[in-house]
Amino acid sequence: MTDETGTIPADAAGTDFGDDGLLMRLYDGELEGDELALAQGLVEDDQNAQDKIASMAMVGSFLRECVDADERGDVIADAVMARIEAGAHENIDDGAEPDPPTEAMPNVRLGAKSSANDNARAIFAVAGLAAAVAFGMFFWGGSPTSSGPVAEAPDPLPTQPAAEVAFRDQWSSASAEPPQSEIEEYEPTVEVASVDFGSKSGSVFYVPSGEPGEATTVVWVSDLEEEEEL
Amino acid sequence: MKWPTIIVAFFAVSLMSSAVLAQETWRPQQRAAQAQPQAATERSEAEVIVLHALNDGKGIDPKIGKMPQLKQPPFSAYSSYRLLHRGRVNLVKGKDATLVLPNKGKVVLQLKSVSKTKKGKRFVLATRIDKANGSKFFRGEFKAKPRNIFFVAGERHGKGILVVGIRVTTQ
Repeated sequence: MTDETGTIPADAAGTDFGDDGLLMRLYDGELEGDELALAQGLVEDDQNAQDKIASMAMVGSFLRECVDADERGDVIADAVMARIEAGAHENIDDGAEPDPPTEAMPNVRLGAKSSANDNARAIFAVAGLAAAVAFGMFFWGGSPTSSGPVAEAPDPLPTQPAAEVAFRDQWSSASAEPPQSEIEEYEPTVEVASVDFGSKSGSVFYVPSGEPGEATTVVWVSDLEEEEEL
Repeated sequence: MKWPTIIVAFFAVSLMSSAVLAQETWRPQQRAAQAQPQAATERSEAEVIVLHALNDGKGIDPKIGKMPQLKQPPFSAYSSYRLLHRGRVNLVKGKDATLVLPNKGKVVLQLKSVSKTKKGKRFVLATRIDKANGSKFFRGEFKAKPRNIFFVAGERHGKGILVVGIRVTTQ
């Protein structure tokens, strides 16, 4: 639709769909120079173009009215709510009987009637909250069971560490496989909470200590670096 | 304000006051429970024995004393054990206790905590062994019953390895 200079040739500037953009930009005041002259000439010569410009103006004014009406609606709603609140306070102050319920303003009547109980509700709510806080302080803040982490701390370590497998493997490689009950009889007298072998490899063994039911903990580190140096 | 409302409010205030008072009553007991283990840690110490494991067929050094574990795997990988050092270090909670090994390496022990369980006291002991050149050999944390030994073995020394035994004792 455009020539090499980017302008619309006069012979192609009819009232087809491609000119709508040009007319819209003319209506929005975005055209300058040659494009402005071209668009103005188009509007002067073509009745369809004039109609389109007129319809754009009509749609624009319609949209503006819609926006204004929406804003007015908010103002009206605010005014109505203010009036409702004012009416409720008047009823309380005058000590007058509330108006009979109407379908149009049901909330006004309910608000006026229940306002006398609001204080009681608030007090009950505060009392309930205070009771909850008191119970919370009683059970979690001052309970003697939670006060002795040193004396009553649960055992964080498993009774049979995973490294016991190493002991079992070692045992089986050194002698005949012992009965399952024989392994489980031993309890390590020293538990391994954590080990860090670094770049080396190592194992944890539980060796029978000679005392019945007790096993000695042995951490065996493979000092391969030193072996390589030797 | 109506009577039920007043009663409920009074009840709530009384309950809160009771809770606060109960907390204050228990607090000294809590402090006593926390202070007890601290007193125990002040008299704790560790016995450290350093053995040299070799395969020279000389057997177990009589100075080591009764230690049947050395005849069982994995110790049985070596035929002889010689006592190189036996010493004691005081354990103070949160402070390092250092012992120098025959190869100029270091054993560093730190008492982390003492807990009292149904089966008796447990000493949580951080154990660190460094080589003579300062490089790390081993880091670990053990939860030990008093008077029970545990071993960290494997560091090369001469033609064999070092075996470090640690036993927490209380006075």
